[in-house]
Amino acid sequence: MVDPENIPIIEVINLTHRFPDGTYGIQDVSICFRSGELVLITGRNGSGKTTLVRHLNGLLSPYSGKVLLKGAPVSANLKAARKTVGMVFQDADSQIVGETVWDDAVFGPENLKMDRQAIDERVRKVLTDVGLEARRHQSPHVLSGGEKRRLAIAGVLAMEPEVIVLDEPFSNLDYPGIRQVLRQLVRLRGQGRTLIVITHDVEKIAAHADRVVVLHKGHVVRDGKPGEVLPGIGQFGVREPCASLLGKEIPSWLS
Amino acid sequence: MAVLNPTAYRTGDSTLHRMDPRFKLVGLVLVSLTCLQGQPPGLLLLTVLTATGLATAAVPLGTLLRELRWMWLLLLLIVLSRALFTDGPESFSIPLLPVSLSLNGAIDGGLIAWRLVIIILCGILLTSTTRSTEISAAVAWSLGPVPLVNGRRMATMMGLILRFIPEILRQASLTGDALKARGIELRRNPVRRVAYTAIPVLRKVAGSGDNLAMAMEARCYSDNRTPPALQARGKDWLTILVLVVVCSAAVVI
Repeated sequence: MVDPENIPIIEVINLTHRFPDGTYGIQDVSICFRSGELVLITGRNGSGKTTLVRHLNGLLSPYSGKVLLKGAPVSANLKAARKTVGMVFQDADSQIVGETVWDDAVFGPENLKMDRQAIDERVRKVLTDVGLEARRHQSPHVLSGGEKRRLAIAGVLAMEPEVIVLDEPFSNLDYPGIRQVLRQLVRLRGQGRTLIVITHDVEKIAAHADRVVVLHKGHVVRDGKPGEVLPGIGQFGVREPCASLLGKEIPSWLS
Repeated sequence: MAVLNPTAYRTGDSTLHRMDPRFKLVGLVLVSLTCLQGQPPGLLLLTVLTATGLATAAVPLGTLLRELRWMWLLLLLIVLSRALFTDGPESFSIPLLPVSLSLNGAIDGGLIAWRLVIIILCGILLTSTTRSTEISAAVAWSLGPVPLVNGRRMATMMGLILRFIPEILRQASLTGDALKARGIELRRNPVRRVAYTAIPVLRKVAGSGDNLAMAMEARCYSDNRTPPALQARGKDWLTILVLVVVCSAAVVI
């Protein structure tokens, strides 16, 4: 799926983020994401994972450094950046704005001022893809945790982003919920989307990742293939998968 | 699964759910204005009309009345204050207490409370059968002809407020449960109890507001969005016509 000849879709160059209280979220981070990759960003709490990805679509502004999206600075066209880089937040509840599943999924396309008929067609397809079409008239608050997360993904997919960033997509989910979301991510990857997944629990998705990036105290300390990065990752506050500890290949949670 | 707020939008396929939100908004204004003029026979007619609406929309009346228990207290205070502070020949005193109550005042207070109940229930009927996006669209439409007013922006603000009412109630309920688990009910001082509840609720709601704003920003939110498709149908005109007739009758009788 990954084409190494592709130019990076996102380039982060010497990015530093400073919070209003003077502390640094990330410092001098340089990293690039290529089209079609599934990149895992991991690190302990407070390592700067969320801060980093919120720069990718201009939700945060750099203190220094820059983020290029297809070669152009993100800040040059925020609307285009947010359409290209969709973001699924950690707390699905805070992301849901509609009173029904359908209303929530149409929120993004309506903001893009799309034609009503085009919105209806696109949202119907997206809800079918995530398995929520039958629940389109229901309130999002009655959905299970996994379904809410899938609705949050649907809300982003309805804007047809090229890159999807998912912040802790497995948090607070039970085993079936994790598998539902993981299946969805694998399907998206199969469609050629670029996926950037933030998680501190790498075992659940490591088998499907092309690359793992480890952040520690706001710096990138490791960046490479899972087999190269995961051994010894415990020193950065991230639990190393059991299979990796035993020197075996990490199995998929879908198998 | 979350506990649903009975005043929030409830999915359904009733006549009221399908009705054009502009007509519902006009209907609410019409009933509210009629209420202000109405006397007991007219108010009785409007009460029957409201109850029919609630039944049609399948709003759980029992749950709703329980959830609105603080409103009953407020209404009781209105009746009591009118009874206490209205002069009139038909006053009677309470044994052992240095106050007298006016029967005329109590009747006046009762009428005010009755009118308020009808208006509040009609408001709930609107919010429970209409999505906030549709209400916003109807408000933007109604403010369209008003000069110097940005109807879309007003509607957006209203939509956000409507979005946040259930969130505030949810946070209050969660905080209340957490405080009960730690024995808040053993505290006798009601002011401290309110303070212990209000401060974390406000903090959480402010945090939710930040998260929601960021999530909306990430999905390209702006005032200039595709409006909901509003379409007036024959049934909507018929319903509003019936409402006009009932309201006229409520004023006359």
